[in-house]
Amino acid sequence: MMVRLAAAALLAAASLAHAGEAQLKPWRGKSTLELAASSLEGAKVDLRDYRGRVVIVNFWATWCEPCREEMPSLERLRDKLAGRPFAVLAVNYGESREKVAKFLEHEMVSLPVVLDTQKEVARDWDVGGLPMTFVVDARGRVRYSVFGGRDWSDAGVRGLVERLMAEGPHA
Amino acid sequence: MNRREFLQVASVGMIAPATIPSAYAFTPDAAPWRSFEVTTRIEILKPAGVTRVWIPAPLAQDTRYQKSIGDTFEAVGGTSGIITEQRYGAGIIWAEWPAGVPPVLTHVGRFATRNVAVDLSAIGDAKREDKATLAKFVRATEYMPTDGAVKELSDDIVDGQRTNLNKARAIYEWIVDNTYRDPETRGCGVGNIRFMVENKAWGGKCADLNALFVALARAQGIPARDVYGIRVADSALGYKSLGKSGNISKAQHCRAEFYIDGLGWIPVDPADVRKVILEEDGGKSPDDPMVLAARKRLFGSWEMNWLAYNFSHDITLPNSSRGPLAFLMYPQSETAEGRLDSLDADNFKYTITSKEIVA
Repeated sequence: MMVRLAAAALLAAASLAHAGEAQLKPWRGKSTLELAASSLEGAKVDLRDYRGRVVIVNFWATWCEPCREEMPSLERLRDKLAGRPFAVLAVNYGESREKVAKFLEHEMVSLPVVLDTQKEVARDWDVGGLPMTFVVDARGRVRYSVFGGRDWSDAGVRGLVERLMAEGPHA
Repeated sequence: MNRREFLQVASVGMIAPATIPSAYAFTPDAAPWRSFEVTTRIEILKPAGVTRVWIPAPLAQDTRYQKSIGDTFEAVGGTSGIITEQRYGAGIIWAEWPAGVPPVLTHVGRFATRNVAVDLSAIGDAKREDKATLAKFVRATEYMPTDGAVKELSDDIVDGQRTNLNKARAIYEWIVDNTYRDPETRGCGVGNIRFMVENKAWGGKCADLNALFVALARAQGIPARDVYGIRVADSALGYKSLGKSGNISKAQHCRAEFYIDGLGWIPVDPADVRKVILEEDGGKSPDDPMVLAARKRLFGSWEMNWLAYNFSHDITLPNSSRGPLAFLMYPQSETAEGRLDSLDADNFKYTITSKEIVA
């Protein structure tokens, strides 16, 4: 049974990308990872406070073209799931508050941004390239990751998030 | 050799024709020495509290392709010095300023260099490297594991090769054939080989592609090392993409070497083959004669229009409040706000210029 479920999960993950897009893969690293940093506005952000919600943790930088390209699709996904137990955290990789603020204003990006100025969160999450994105379930476990840009608003991703939300925080 | 004698030798080099024969048929001992002066000026635009700066010094150890002539540096209103890092022997210029003092560091490094080519056709009598040194260059680093997926890939690549020289060549050819220079990569890349291999992320720049060579070689037990440095002159071989003179602030470039008993350290640079493919004359096919020539040349020789800084990995900066760096090739700085982004010109301004010393 377990084998079949794992195989189904793999197939589901493999089907989540259009041709040429980066594909979500089941995460095989440490199941829970720390994310405690400052928001763009200076508030403390801790991933543990998001328990009960499915969270997409997206590492990005202003100089990263594929990061910029996929941001609108992250916003669309967030908007589609508004009011549901879901959140997106866009973790900026190593840039100053001023630079990030200027970029967000210019590009009219409204994602909640966390600053990883010293790249310490990225190191803990083993981010070796950008964009790198993780899907964290409602229990705080990292379930999927993807390296490279993709369309986050497509039906495949939404279906995956829906399934994780259905698992709930006590699965 | 003292400095005076050294400069005299360098001046002989200046009498030689300005261009090297395209056949690139020099031998290491016959190549003329040239001397350069590289000036680095660092200015921290938004200091906060105590400000510290670190920059790499020219390679402290003399090699067959580079010899240090000397360093001078000045940090007005602050303190400064030069230290040799323990593990790999990297020379690091450091400076520190108290709060309220505008942090500006100027460093002038002088060195001599000559083209290097190793005759790979026969094992020679090159000076044997000591075992302790070689042991350092087969170890894994934080970003360069030598087991797991890296070892598996390395084993696949060298399958059927019996000598270390042939294994190294197979790795070199594999990198040229299977990776690419990604112009979107920031700086020279980060060299996270574990990430590259596990994600099959084959795009990058020199700190990625040449570190991949090093990791794959080390996974076979072949001593190999990244050599971090900066381009200091235009290429005399006709490659516009492989040289830079004058303002070299963004010309950082790392290369790689591997070691074979009897041949010594052998220069390679698969990343520059991919640079020629991407950039030369707007892009070239892998079977273009210019690419093929670079591919042949960059396994066993380097044109030394480039300054080597160090071979260091996982380097801890003296008095730094932050963790180790994967490598030290770019200037670094920390203020009370933390470590600055050395590629962020809004906060961290530096210029590096190069000029040839004509005696």
